[in-house]
Amino acid sequence: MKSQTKTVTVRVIILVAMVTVLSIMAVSPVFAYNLWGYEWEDVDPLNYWYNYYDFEDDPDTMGCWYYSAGDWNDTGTEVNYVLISYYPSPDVRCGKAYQSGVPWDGLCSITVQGTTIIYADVTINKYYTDSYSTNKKRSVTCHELGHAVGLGDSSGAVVMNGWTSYRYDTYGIYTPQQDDIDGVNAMY
Amino acid sequence: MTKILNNRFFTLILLTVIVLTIAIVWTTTYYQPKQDRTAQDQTAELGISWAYAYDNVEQLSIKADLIVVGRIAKVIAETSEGIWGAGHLYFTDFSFDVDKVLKGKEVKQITIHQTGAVGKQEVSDDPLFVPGEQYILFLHEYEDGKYFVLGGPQGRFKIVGDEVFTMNRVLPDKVVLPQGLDINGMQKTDFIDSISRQVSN
Repeated sequence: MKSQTKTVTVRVIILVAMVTVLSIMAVSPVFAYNLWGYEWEDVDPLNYWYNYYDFEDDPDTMGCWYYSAGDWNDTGTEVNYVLISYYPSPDVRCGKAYQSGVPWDGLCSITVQGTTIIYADVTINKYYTDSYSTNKKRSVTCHELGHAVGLGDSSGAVVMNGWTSYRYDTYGIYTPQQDDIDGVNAMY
Repeated sequence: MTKILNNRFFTLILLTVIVLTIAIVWTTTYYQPKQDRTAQDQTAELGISWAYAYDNVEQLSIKADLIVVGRIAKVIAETSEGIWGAGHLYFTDFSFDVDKVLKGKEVKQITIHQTGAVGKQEVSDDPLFVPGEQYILFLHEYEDGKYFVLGGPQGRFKIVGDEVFTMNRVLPDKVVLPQGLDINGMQKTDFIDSISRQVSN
């Protein structure tokens, strides 16, 4: 009788514990990344391009696009950015702007059909980034190439944090972090 | 109670809980349902890296050249600029009728410059203004009489009736803001009073 009571007690405890864990998991997000809601049909390869002549006077920024693409390739996800010449048409074009009338230092424009990304243009705003260090510029280029893959803005110590002053000045992030990688893996 | 917890029933309940746990973990970790979008012509969305972040209204108040309460009047102009090596960018200028100035020079109407254009490009977390909408805006003057909103969605507080909302409350699926910039239905008069106090300090 005593043994039966003990068994029942143990089972009740186990059940209550599992229901508690279940309830917590149901209401707590287990990830921080956000998906933009758009995806490529294939990200291997993801052909990208920049005009060497546009960046002739700014090789540092050109290098940032190159190194950030490499950083995404190094994540071990399916993303494979491949640098190409203009022909055939690239999937992702990397450019520069000089806009003083905006609060952004980087921008990704994706053209979509339904939920499929057709192509992407990523731009760095030199009005702000001309005063940035190389790694701070890389935090912008890496962020924009993350948008180009289909990631949305996030918060915290991740490269998809939408604010450069948080992403780099506070957290020192300029390469993809595990949560960013998890987001890519959730899509591809 | 004892009957429910005998061996067979307990095993069944335990298995059910395990299956539910696995389902929830899979759903929340690996599966993200796409937004419900019908097939449409090619459109462009913009993802942004905002240069500066503001932790709270106090920081916005310090940095702003102009803080105003008012209404989006109309679209003045839509422009586009070629971006070296990367297509075109679209911009829309709105006129804004000022009801009250909380900081800065006394003005009745200003121009607000925003990235994007209806039907062409729109910033995901900073959607285009719509004429008739009321806001409290924290602005930077980049040219005489022309302004942009500080921090994109951060410096933009929407007025609905007598209440004020930050953009993460207006677009919870798209806008992420710091905790200090989370306002969900504060009375407009109270919010304006708090800004006025900060500005005068």
